[in-house]
Amino acid sequence: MPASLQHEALMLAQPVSDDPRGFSLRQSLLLAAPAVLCLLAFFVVPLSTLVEQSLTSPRLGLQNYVRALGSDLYLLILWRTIRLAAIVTVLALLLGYPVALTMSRVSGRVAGLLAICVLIPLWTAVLVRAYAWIVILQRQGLVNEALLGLGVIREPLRMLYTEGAVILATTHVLLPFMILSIFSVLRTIPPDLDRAAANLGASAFATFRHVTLPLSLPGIYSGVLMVFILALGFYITPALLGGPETLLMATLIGQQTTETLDWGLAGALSVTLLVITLLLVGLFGRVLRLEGKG
Amino acid sequence: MGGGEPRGSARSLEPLACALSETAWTFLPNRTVVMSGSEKNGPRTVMLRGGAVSVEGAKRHFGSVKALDGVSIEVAAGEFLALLGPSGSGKTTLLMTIAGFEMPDEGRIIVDGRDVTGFAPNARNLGMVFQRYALFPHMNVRDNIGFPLRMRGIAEGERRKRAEAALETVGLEGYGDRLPAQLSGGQQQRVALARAIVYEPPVLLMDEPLSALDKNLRERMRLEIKRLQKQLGITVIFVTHDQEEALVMADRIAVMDQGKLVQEGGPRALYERPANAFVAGFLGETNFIDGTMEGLEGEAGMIRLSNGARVSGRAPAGLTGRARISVRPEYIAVHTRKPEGFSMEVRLQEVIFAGASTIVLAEAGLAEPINIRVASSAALDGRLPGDPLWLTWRSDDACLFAA
Amino acid sequence: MSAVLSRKTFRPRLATLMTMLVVVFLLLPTIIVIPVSFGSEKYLQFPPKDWSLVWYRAFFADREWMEATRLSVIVAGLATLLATLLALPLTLVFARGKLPASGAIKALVLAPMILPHIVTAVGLYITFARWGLTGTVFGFVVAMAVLALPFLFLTLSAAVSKLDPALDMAAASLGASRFATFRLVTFPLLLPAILAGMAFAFITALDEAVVSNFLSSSISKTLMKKMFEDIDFDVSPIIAAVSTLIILATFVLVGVAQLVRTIQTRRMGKV
Repeated sequence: MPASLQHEALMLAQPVSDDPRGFSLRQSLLLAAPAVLCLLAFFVVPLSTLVEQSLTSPRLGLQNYVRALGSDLYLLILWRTIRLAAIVTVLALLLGYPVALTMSRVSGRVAGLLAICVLIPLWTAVLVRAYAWIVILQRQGLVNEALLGLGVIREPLRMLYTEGAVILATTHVLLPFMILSIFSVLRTIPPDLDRAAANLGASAFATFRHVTLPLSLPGIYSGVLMVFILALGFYITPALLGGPETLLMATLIGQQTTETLDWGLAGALSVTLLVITLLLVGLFGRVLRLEGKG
Repeated sequence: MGGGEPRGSARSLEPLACALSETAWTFLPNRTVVMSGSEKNGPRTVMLRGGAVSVEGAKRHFGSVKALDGVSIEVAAGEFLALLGPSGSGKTTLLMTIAGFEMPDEGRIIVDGRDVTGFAPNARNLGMVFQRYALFPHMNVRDNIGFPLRMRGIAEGERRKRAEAALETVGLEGYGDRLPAQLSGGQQQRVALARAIVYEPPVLLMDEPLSALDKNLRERMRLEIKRLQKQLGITVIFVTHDQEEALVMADRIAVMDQGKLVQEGGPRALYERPANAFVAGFLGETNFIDGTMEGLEGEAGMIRLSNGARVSGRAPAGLTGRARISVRPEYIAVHTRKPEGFSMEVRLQEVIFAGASTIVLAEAGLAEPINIRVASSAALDGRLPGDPLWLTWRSDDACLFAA
Repeated sequence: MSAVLSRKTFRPRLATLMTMLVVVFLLLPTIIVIPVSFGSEKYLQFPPKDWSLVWYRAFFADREWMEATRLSVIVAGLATLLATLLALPLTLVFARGKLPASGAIKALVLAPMILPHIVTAVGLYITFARWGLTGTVFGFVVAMAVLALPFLFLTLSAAVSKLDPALDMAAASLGASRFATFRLVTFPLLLPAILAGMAFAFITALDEAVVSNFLSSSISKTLMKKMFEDIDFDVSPIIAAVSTLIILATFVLVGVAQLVRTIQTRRMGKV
């Protein structure tokens, strides 16, 4: 049997592996190294530079943080950012939950169609969408034309460059994240539970309140977290659709970086935003973990 | 398909009947069988030569769990060994250690006279069939079967020929172009088998290969794999938690529990002479009754049960004090009148028709009713629950263990 | 019958109505842009009075737009390639290997997705300004790769977790080395997921606006930077044409990725 002979020769050449099921420690480190090094060089170093700038520019000390957190204007902007993120999150939840619920309850085909409708905006560039909102909301835009045509208003409304426009467009961008997050949990709830609750005498609403809603909480938590965090750092949409009175953290950081060239202050504001984000992730992470255990 | 030879009618595959018909294999000599191709199935089928396997003092722990606690076992060339045990008993770890997917902390694995302990799995030249077959879903049947040949540097033309021969061996001629997803579970099982034997390994390892099949198919495949193994003369080590499967298929069964080899022997020997209560309970059904030893006479021991009855069974030497007797349901005889000699008086509780046999539950003033299996319940016709019955068994058919 | 159904699956009228309204809201911006791009007026009008391809012609004739498009496609392509080459081995290690501090490494890999892009963008801007990397293809590529890495990692991890580990073991038991197993079993099975992940990474890199906004220089702009500037200064319908082209390209890519997946599922069942 030549095959076996050949195989015997092969056997002698085979190295002995310490863990035959997977990669050894050395192999693992070797395979992970490129990605980790790349992240260190082009992600960790830039973030560290930002921190360094915030503490050393123009000289060593906390003066940038004193400026960032001691100024009424900057605190107002921070508060405005948090408020806007909260409004967007609540809107996304209120608009998103019914969609996620419907998606989880309709037949596969309709659900697929709905999923495509949710994904289409997700895959449309944020800038394209910002541009579309300008077309819709501007003075001679779609909404004004329609309202004027119907005789509801006499003068075109000023909608662009307002907080409302920013909220509308930001909600639009983040809504798919909320829907998908809730849907991913709702779809795992066995339909038998609904039938069981109904069979045990619960009304449709009682079933929803006592069965579906509590079971979908993890999806709600992660959706809320994701939308809130993303809204906090939103840059493009507020920059294009907002006006001076809707200046937000991200836009402020951008201005300090490229216009005022005050990198120390930009760093301090960035670190502030970063810390808030990380605190939220940590907090929600704990809540989610507790939920998962319970 | 080779199912044309219905051995042991599939309908009434009572575990015992089947086990008995299959134990005939036990008496076949365990020797290397070399099939010359022209004997059967035309020009060239798969040719195999069984190899012996021995595991010497294998130990393997995961954290504080001892998955293998010093296991030693010898498997003769051409033998069919079943590794039987509950989940977590270490049987799969033992198989994976032989296959090379686990490294023992201590001990050696010797296959065909060669120490392969430090070898990577791909250097061991063993055949393996996995629980869910593990067919490569992106390759057709021919490429799946040709894969090990390709790994051994065999040319395309030769691969095709040998894959076709292997398919023929498992009764799937002409299925080469199908993808695994286009096959039924049983067919996938056959392809996995063909793939594992096409490169003529000396030993075939099988990890619960029938557990994913439905009951009827599973029972057919048992006999088929058994037939193939005898025809090819390959050594098989077969992991299962299904005692019936082990009884039907194996030449020899090794029962494992908590990382240790508890008992090994032929199916019949294990069934009739379990070494301890664990084996008695795991292999087949049995009644356990606790009591106190009252004396030993040679092999036979007397035990007084908690309900006052004195009964006998085979006892290990020196057994005294608290003890437990194990009597299999089918070894108990039911009498409607008090017989001569020792007997246990009980009350009829329920008669349950179970197809080929009938289960009789009897109240004996013990923690649980006694479970009896009779071929026919005709003798009990007209008896009502609560009526007295007398149970007897041959002292040789019951086993006594220390409690 | 309808009473039975409504009990079985609670689907209030209100939820259905809301869903329809939300879907209109979600689709509106994407759909509105397309007809605008086919107008001919200088100022925006909806619906356009007469139809023309003026703005498409203007786009393809404009050197600056063409430069920006070229740069963006090159950057997105290279970034996707780089991110895939980094993510694939990492994914395999997480699934089949052992890493010290794997929790920390996972957090590091996912961080670019979770932390605000503006912070990453500003950090990269300041750092790359020191290193002289702003406005360079290399700078764009590594930045986009870092942002695409978490998405690829998650997509590939999901695909790897669906692979039966017994397939690897089967290949090994049949004599395949680890490399042969990867080449002949793991990689072909992952390929559709890799391609889909790459398509999505490409789109993400192409559409990314924040980091590319900061890393662009006056002579080297990405498509998104160019769009950002033009929207900010002068809302020309050329942007509608560009947007329509981007939407078209995105849907072709997403469609192809989806098709590849569907074909694989059809052929091999659930892997």
